[in-house]
Formats: sequence, C-alpha cells, structure tokens
Amino acid sequence: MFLANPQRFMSFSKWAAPIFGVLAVGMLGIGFTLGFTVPDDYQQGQTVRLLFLHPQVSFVSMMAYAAMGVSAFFGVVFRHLLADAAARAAAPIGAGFTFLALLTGAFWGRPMWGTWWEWTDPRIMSELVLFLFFLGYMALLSAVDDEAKATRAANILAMVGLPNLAVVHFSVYWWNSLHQGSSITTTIMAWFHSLSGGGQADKPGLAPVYVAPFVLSFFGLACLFAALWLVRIRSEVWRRKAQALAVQAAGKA
Amino acid sequence: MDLFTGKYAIYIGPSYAAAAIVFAWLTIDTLVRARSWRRKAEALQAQKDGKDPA
Repeated sequence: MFLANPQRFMSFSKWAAPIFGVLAVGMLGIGFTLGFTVPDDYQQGQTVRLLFLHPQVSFVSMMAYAAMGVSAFFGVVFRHLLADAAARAAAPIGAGFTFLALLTGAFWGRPMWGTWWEWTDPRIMSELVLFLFFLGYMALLSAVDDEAKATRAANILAMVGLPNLAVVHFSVYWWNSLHQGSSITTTIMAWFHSLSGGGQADKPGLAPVYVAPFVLSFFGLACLFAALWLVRIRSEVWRRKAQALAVQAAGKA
Repeated sequence: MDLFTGKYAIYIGPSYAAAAIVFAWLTIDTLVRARSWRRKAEALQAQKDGKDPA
C-alpha cells in the first residue's frame, strides 16, 4: 500500500528500476556464461543449455500475468489509477516472455520429444492460452476509444485469466503431459534447503553443477521484468499527466 | 565456452538469439516510450507554468 501513492511510487521507482536493471545484467551475464561452460547432460546432451532459458522465461511469464491480474483486480475494485497503469505496463512484457516460453519450448521439444508442438499437451496449451490473454488484454485496450471503458473491460479480462495460472502450473500433474514437472520451484526449494544447512531435500532437483546458472538466470530475468515493469509504469504516469495537461491547455485556449 | 556448436546448435542458437532480440526490443521500447512521455509531460508542465520548455 506504500506504493499506492503515485508520488511515493515515482520517487521509489526512480532508484529501484536502475538497481533491478543492473542486477539483471549482472546475474544474466554470469548465469548465461556459466550455463555455456557447464558439462553436457548425460541424457539431454548439449540441449541442457536451454535449461537456463526456457523454464525461467516460462516462470517469469506467469509472474507477469500474476502482476497484471492482481493490478487489474485493484484497478477494478478500488478504481486506483496506478493499479490500472501497472496492469497496462505488465501486458507487453508478459506477452514477450510468454512468446519466448512457447518458442524456446518448441526448440527444446523437437530434439527431446521429436516434435515442435503438441496440440493435446496441457502445459503447452495452457501457456498458449496465457499468451492469448495477454494479446486479448492489449487488443481490448486499443479497440475501445473511451480509455476508462477500455481499461475496465481489459482489467476484467485480465482477472478472468488469473485461474489459468493454476492450470499452467499444475497441468503437468493433473493430466498426462509430455512436459516434465515443475523445475523452478523444485530447484529453488532444494537450493534454499541446502543453503539453510538442511542437507539433501526431499526432491533433489538439478545436478549441483547446473544449480548456479539455473538460479542466477532465473533471478536475473525476474529482475529484468521488475526493471522494465517499473519503467513502464512510470511511463504510464507521465502519459496520463501529459494528457491531463494537454486537456487543460486546450480548455484555456 | 561451448557456444553454438554441435548437432543441437540449430536449437540452442536460435533460442538464445530470439531471447536476445525480444529482451532488446522490450528494453529499447520501454526506455524510448518513457523518455518520450516524460519530455511531453515536462514540456506541457513548463508551458502551464509559463516557462520556456527549451
């Protein structure tokens, strides 16, 4: 709630966005470099390099939708302009990450499963639905001339799509799927478990040699999303301010 | 570093290249848009305050 005040948000994001940006560049630089120097996997061979990109962009695509959906909820229920701006700002970033999740999944699926795409796979289909929700949200915003009505309609659509996040995450457990189980949560939990001195976790996750690049590239991409999201929200605030000032100037003329 | 070699390079290379393009586009679009709206808002604010926006 501290950031619900636009002035406080602007002063916070002024320094937070560059910090997230620097963290993203640093962690992605180290993470991807390590990812290309680790040994090949005994089963997947060289395609294990995609382990440091595909699960991360997929998880951040879900984070982006959660950010958009929750902001849309606050925009609809409390009619908060900053929440509307936050939802609007998350959409193009989320669409970019979701597109990458689908694309890199296809590039990984071809050598591992023997197919680029599988229409009956629940994880692929629910991720595609996520992508369509992002596109639908942006299409609704640009299709209606009245910005307030467009924002409200798009926010409601974003809220309708929120349950799909659970479908994306649990689809590999609820139905038969070519896709493996959750990589990010298992690995992060195992990593925290080992950091806290808990020894071997119940689900061991990745081989230790892959953990550092996996975790670094995940947090790097999460920081990239945070930096881009904050700057886009700031951009929205300036856009609304410019529009309000333009209307005032036109009224005086 | 084992960059873009081996029989799976045609899957790994395009994946990372596509990611680089999308991240670069998102970053540039975000920064250009933010700068443009900030300048417009500041110019209109200066106009309203009776100052020269330049």
